[in-house]
Amino acid sequence: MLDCRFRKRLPEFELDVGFAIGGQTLALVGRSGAGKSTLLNIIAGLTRPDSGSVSLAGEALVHVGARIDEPPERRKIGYLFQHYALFPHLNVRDNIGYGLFRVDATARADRIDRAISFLGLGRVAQARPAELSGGERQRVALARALVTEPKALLLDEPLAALDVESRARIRLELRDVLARLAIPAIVVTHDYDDARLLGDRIAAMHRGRIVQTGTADEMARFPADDFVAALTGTNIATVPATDSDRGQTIAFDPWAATLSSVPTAARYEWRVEIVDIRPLGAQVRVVARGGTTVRVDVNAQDAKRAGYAVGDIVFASVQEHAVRTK
Amino acid sequence: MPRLEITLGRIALGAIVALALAFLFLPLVAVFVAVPPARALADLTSPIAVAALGLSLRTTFESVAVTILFGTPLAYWLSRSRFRGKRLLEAAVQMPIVVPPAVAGVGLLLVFGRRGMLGPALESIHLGVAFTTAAVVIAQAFVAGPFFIVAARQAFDAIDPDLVAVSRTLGASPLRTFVAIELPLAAGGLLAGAALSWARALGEFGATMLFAGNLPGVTQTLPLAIYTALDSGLDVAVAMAALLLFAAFALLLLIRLLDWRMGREAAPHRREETLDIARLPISQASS
Repeated sequence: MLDCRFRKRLPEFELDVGFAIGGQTLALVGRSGAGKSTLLNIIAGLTRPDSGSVSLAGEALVHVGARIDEPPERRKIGYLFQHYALFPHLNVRDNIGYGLFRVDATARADRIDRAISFLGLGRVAQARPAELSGGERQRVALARALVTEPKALLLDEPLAALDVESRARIRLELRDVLARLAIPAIVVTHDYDDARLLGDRIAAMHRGRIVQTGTADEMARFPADDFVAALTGTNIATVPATDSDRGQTIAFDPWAATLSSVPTAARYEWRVEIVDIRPLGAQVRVVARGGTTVRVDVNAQDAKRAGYAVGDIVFASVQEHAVRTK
Repeated sequence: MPRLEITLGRIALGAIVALALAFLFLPLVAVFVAVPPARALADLTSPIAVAALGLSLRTTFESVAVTILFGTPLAYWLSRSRFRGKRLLEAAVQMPIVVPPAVAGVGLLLVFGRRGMLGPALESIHLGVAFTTAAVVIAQAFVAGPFFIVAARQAFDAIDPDLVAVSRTLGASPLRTFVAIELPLAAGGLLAGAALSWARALGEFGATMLFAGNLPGVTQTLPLAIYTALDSGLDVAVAMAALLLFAAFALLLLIRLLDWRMGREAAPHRREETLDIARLPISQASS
């Protein structure tokens, strides 16, 4: 169990989190600059929190009040850096074995061999990092972190440094490895798709705070706020109170909503201005704002016929049966 | 008309470049061609030349060793620490590079001389240094040390901080991280700095002359021997000058080679931060 409750003053906002994870993967998703990397650095011991604590398997790694602050080398937390941080002067084997300096030579060689075969790196064992592909680098960094048998694993944007072609394949490989490990793991990403695929649970982070946690389904079903709605591609909207009805917050999917150039008599309708039209297979996703942000999927042909363009004022509506309330 | 102007411009530029290059190279070439190699070799075996060469090798070896021993931790500390007034301190560390060697000599005398700040104390425990071989080493370390420190600092700066961080998360203490990661990665820059520092120490003249004196076999290094030999005849002086020039050239080649190798080994996204020898203050490398 990895238990994190701490605060840290950052230039633009305060990082303030509290969460615990067991032997599963938490995908921490948010825009760049949301404080995600600082959060990992605090857990790893590379940055000190202003207050609060981090504990792993019941032992405090840092506890500001109790003046406990274990250095990173004693925390037994594996950390995969965004650019993998492979040692350029060591070959793949020596990179992987770097953390095993306390282990005797035979056991060391054995553990390196197992890590190399676990991640399929036999072919490049003698190569220098500069000769590796992005995917190979990531696997070497992962093997290097895993041979030391860490009690928790932190991954900072593990897919960001990869090219588009290898990304999808490596994402599945990584998911497989994380599932086999069964230790607390935190994957930081700005990509919701990565978070959805890699995380058993997702935590959405915005300006230093976790605004919502849950499974991908839960997050999409009822996003906590517009930020999470934007991440998950769902809609969250506030309906103002009327004579017959109290105001409420509703969630609905983009494919359940419709657009019209003229107002309809729908119960849930918003007058909005189109800010973006994004192709999405046979459909286009229209993003429009007007008090609330709505995402509406429109058949590409229909959108063309209607002549929707950025800047147009349109009316977005959703049928009552497609609306979810809390 | 414009074509004529361009042609004239080219000729003028060509002439200026040729003149400048001739000015830079002619004195160096002259040293090599003034005395036939066979005679130069014979001149170098004269007792005074042999003694000066031996002393130069010994003192520069010692001064560079001292510089590496004390300069590496200092450079590392300068690279890793953050505090107010750091820039000022860095400028101060580089002062010996721009200070005229004669001033350095006077300063060293004021501190280590018989009547200097520390002189009497050192004399009382029989460690007086003025006009001894130790004074030569001190003078060389003072004027040549900053060359190493600047290069070493740049080499430590160029190391990706993530490498240090990941080493710590893999269980390595700061000391182990320094020995296994930072030192090997900075090695090229440290070596280039040591070579540069050695070249400067080998050519040291002014501070040595003032602080250590010109005693054959005790403080008379090659540059001082050249100065002395000029009185008795040009040939021996020229032969020793050619030897120094050859050593300087070899060191320059070594530095360029190290620079090229480091540029090749650096990770692509950090390439621009590798040691840039061109930015080092080589300009005063001989006094």
